Amino acid sequence: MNIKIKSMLYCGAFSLYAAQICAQPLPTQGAAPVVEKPLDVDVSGSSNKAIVIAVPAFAAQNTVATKAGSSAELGKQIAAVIAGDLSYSGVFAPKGPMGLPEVSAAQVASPDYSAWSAQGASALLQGFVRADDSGNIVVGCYLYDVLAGSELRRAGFSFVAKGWRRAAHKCADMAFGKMTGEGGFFDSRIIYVAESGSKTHRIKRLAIMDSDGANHQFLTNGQAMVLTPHLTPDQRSIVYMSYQGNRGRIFILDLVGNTQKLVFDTPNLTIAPRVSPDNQWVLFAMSVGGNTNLYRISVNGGEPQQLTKTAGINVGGSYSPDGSKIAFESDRSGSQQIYVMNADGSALHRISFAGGRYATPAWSPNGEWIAFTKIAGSFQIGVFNSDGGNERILTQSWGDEAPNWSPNSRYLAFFRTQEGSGKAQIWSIDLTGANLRRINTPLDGSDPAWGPLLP
Amino acid sequence: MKTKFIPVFALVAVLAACTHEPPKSVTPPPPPEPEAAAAPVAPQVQQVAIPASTPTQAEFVAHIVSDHVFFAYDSSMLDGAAMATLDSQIAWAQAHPQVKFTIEGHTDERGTREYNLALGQRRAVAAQAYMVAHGVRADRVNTLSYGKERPEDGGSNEAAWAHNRRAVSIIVQ
Repeated sequence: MNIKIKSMLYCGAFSLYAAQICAQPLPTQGAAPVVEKPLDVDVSGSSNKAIVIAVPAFAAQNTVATKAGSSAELGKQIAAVIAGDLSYSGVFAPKGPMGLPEVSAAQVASPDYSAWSAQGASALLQGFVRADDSGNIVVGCYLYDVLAGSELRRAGFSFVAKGWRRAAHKCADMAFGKMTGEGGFFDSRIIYVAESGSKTHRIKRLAIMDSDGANHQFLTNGQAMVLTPHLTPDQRSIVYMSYQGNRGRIFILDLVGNTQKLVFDTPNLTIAPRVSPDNQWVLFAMSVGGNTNLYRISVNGGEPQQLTKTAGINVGGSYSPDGSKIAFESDRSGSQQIYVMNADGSALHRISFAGGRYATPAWSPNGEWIAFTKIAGSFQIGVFNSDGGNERILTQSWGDEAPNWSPNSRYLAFFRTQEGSGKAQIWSIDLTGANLRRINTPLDGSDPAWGPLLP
Repeated sequence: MKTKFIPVFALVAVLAACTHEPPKSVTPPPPPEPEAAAAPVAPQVQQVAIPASTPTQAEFVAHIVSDHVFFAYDSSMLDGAAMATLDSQIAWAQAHPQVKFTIEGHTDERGTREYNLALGQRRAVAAQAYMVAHGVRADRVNTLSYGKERPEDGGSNEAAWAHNRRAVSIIVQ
């Protein structure tokens, strides 16, 4: 599902753990209508076809001191975040903001195309920062096709000072979306497990960060081991497994009220929680008598419904984006393989058949792909269609595991464990198998779960 | 209460001083019985049975083959050695009927996280079921899986992996 920010007045009513941000209409100065000409963009991922895009410091329309710094300083930082995002995507080769000529507020809507072309840029993303007395900031960003000499798109956002990074991500998403025709993904957060300590006494804490690693926060203190977190679709909560109380149970942490609730009170081991796309069900796995099966329970509590019924291990469910189906892993055939069933447990069938073991299915937000961990000698991250066809392996190492999709179904976050030390770090790769990058975290990390685009 | 003991002679003298008649020979009254000092009565103590302190894990281990049983890769089957180890644990458990156990199930590091949590649980339950089948009351034995999260041997080699594929019987203190 592509989420596009429309250039009309729109306020995300949802603002917990992320500064509220409102889209602002930008004045269409001048009589000439905006002509949107799609660029011929190659998104095959090869870096020498990356679009050279200039990202100069955003111009300050007024000089005001804000809680996030002077508006001129903000202009530089916003451009730097945008350039970082665009570089990360692998689609762009950004220039700037350092080393680029200064752009005045008046020039923002009337760029000197030949000057930018002389810089080697085929695209230009520039904008302004305007602060008002009440501490709100408005950012306008304009995307230009330098070679054609025309504006491609403009978007504006207003926010309180501490939300400036989100405005930068929204601008980067605007540019990425326009150039690739795909949805954005920069204005999102990743939840994961921060790891420290020795291999035999690992300390694990829940943590959340922006997609570029900024605004990092620990959510638990490490006294109880925590595993496999997932953001709920409404982004208000996190479901995860914890060993607090010396039992293996699943909890839901409300990010607003910072309160934690047990999902299902049972003496049985419960693991692998996920929340359905309509935010109504917690899907999980429970072990009874040594057999682990999938269950779902209403977010409002009650009795769980058993979805799989085998002697063996069924675990790791992942909903299709419309909530109608669940992909999961099961050893009922003798080894870990991936199966798909309806959300009520009916029409269950196997979809992985190539050699090797298949685990950790993750259904892409656009419904087209199921990502997986494949164990065939090494640990591999791969994708196939929901019928198991068109399998592609994207990366492999001694310990690549648990892929998780970016909101636009184009990138996968996963974790890579080093042989010997057992140290794990978070990495990402795109759907073409290119742009393998480490996502920097303050400590080691595992079990990344990429949340939806922020509204 | 302290008894004041008045010597006889003093008593006689007092008596003599009180009258003008010649003292009669009187048999002095017997000295007052000293009040019996409150004999320290020991408080009633009754012997009652108290539970013995829970044996330590070290004491348990000293009397059995091992508190660990081991498994083959991706398996929860108990082999002969595992059963013999569990037999020794069961004998000890039956001699200590008040003791409760948690059996922790573990895997080696070569598998995905959630599957390994389930596999560790299957191993813990295999050991638990064996104990229950051989007479240990079910409510005395809990299970808990740690999957691959708590290796005892930090190596990445066959010997380390073999050691980490285990179920450990822990006394609940």
